[in-house]
Amino acid sequence: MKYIYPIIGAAGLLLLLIPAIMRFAGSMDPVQMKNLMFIGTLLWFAGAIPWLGKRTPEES
Amino acid sequence: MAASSSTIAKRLDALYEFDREPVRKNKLQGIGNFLGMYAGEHVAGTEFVIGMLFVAHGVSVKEMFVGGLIGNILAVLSWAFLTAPIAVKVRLSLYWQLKKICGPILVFLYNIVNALMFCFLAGAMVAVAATAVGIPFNIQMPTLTDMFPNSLGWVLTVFGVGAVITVMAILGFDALARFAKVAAPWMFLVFVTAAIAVLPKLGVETGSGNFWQVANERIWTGVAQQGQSQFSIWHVIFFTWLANAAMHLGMSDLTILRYAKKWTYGFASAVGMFLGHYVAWLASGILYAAATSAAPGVVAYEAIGLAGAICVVIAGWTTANPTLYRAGMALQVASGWTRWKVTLVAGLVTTAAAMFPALVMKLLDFVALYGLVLVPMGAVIFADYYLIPKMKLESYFAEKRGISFNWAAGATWFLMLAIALVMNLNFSVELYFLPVPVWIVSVGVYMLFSGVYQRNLKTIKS
Repeated sequence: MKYIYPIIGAAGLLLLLIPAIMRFAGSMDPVQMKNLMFIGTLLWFAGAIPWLGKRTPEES
Repeated sequence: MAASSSTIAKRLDALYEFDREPVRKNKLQGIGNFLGMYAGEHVAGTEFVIGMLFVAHGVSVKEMFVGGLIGNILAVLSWAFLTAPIAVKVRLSLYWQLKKICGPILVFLYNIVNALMFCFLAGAMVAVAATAVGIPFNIQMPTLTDMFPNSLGWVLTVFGVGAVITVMAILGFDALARFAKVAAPWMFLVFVTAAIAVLPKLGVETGSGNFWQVANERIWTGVAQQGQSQFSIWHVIFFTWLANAAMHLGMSDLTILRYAKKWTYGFASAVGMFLGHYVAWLASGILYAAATSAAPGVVAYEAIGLAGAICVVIAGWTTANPTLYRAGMALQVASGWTRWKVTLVAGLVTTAAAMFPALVMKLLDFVALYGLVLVPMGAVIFADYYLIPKMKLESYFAEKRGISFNWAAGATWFLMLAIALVMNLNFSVELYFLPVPVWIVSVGVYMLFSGVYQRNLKTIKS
């Protein structure tokens, strides 16, 4: 459970990076790339908010 | 809004009470915090616009890559050798450092000027966010040459975005600040991946090695667009160096770097400079070259769809949020109002300013002006720390003599700004080139004025 949020966040970032590289390589069409990057964005925030967005002891 | 000088001084002190004392040893922070902070702070909404404007101003490939490199190195050196050494020796925030030198009334004036600058900067970010929010409503986006609101749709969109940002800043500044930290890595990756994704549109092919040819012919062409002034490598170097002049030459980052264990932590700024002010600016230039619009929201949406539009909104929003907060803090002192009221006023000023596309389209000039206005006070701090004692004069003169307005510092600030204005208006010296000479001359002028002022005051008192 401890690693689930970082894994979701990392998957989100990969869904930004890989479609862009595949588009550059000519192996993905723009619509598919845009859809995957949007999903990547949602995944990043779903994982990163509970992972990185916690109030630190210094902030509280 | 009116308040006596002693009331203002008390309010200022109360507002900054928590950091009145130098930072204690057990509160010092490791290098990781500084790396993270600089990386997050300098990948912001402004980056979408600045890289684009360099392209519009006809910067060439060599000028962009070499000039950007030199400018960023100079910025890092300024943080490391000017700001950080004073920060770790004195360990006071900018406010207390200035108060000891200048007295509460001059600090109050400085805060108000700073607040106005922050409102305009936040306004630019509201406008940037509005260019993405307006896409589904098909509003008429401002063009590079638009200075005034160009449609009712634009005005309403900006008003809506400004209202939402202001209300959210009132309701939950802390939560938004944490959200900004979360968004920073994603935002940087969006810049980079969007630029990669549009390369085929510009004609770059994998394996052909034609990137530099395309970059020369279609991105950084070396020819300014119609209505834009022609930039040279000197513009790129000086703008890049001084984009954050308020923070290094102007010493605003004393407040942050006072928590550093060593002065060498000033080099942590390199992360922000090279990720935000190099890679992100290059990426934004590539994006603009492939786009059909000058509106950042449209540029990002065309490149990677919804993820790009969301990035522009979040970049604008997370940059505007702390900016509104800082503006509110300065206004709170002047008015004595509660935080929500001052944030509302700052939000209204910000939103009104955001309706003018000039704020975005002339962002380079505004950023340069912002640095220029504040650097003389950074020079005053530098001179007061290193040089004033060597002249057998007193550092922290206002504090030691109980003065509320140190005329040597005040006159230095006003005189240097007046000279800069004359140089700009009468001799057409562009704003980008003024902060460095203004800073250097301010050091000398402050020492000269301090000599006269301190000796006169001693003569009068004795």
